[in-house]
Amino acid sequence: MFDLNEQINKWRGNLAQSQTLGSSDIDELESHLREEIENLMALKLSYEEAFLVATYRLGDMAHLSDEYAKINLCKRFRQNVSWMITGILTYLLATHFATAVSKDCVLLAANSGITGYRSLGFIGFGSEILTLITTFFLGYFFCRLILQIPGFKKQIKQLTTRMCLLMALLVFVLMTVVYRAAFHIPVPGFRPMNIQQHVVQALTYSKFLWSVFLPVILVMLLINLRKPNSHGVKSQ
Amino acid sequence: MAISKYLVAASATPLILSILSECENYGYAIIKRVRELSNGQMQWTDGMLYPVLHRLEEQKLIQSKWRESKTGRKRKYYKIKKEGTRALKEQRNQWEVVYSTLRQLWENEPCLT
Repeated sequence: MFDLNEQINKWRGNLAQSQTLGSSDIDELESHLREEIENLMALKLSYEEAFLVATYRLGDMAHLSDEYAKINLCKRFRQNVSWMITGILTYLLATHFATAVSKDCVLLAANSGITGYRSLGFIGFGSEILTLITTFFLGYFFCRLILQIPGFKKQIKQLTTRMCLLMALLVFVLMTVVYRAAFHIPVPGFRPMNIQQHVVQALTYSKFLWSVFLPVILVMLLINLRKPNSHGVKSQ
Repeated sequence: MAISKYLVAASATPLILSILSECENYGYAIIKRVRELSNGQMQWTDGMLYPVLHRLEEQKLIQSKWRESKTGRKRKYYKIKKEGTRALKEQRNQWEVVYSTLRQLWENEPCLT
């Protein structure tokens, strides 16, 4: 007995294998196929005959996937590159903003004559919170942007991707903790640092942090760029 | 008489834009309309229409939207945009030049000497 829905599902599966058609593209072709089958059945064709004629009329699958590849691959590449640039820009903005705020706070405090460790620590604490809030929001928007990359949601379900992200997060948290600890715990034998030295130290640590975090993000994006995804580009 | 595939490919964009300039429409109906208007002489491979539609959409000449029809079937409807109307006008001028040139040549008496 010929099961039309089963055959259409099989046909969908074959199209998805080509990896150049997105699920929305396949949905559209299926809608066309069903309409054609309906029309052919009005001409007294059986389900099976109508299905065969309709799939034949849609054209050779290899040719079809080639035509879709011309549009989708190019579109996807451009999208990925644009997201990557957005990511780098976000990173630059975040670091510059965070650096500027913390540097200004410390220098402002020094110029106002606040030199005590405790009061400086208090001002430093305020700038830290500000930095944290900025990083959080920028990180949040960056994640939202990343999730919009077609195929990224699928990618994120994979164990290796999750491990990569977890490692990146661990490195980030660990470095922050180490930096904070180094900043606040007086190490015996070391001369107490003045404000400028503190600023230089803070800058060095934050630069190191980002130099670890950024490459991980870029590598993730590159992995995503290399792997073709079957649930291609969403059309508006 | 079957139209050559090169001519079919070249005329796809003005045909699609012209049909969409009448009213918004979906893939299957566009193919049907071309078939009817050309008395079945312009045969597109059905599936090939969609990459063309997507390319036009990428060029921002048309826009698309999934919608449910009255019969309950989900269809992707395409609608022409302002930019598309402008492109159609341009294409129309070009095709009219080609057409009138050929027409003049074919209307002339053949030279027998």
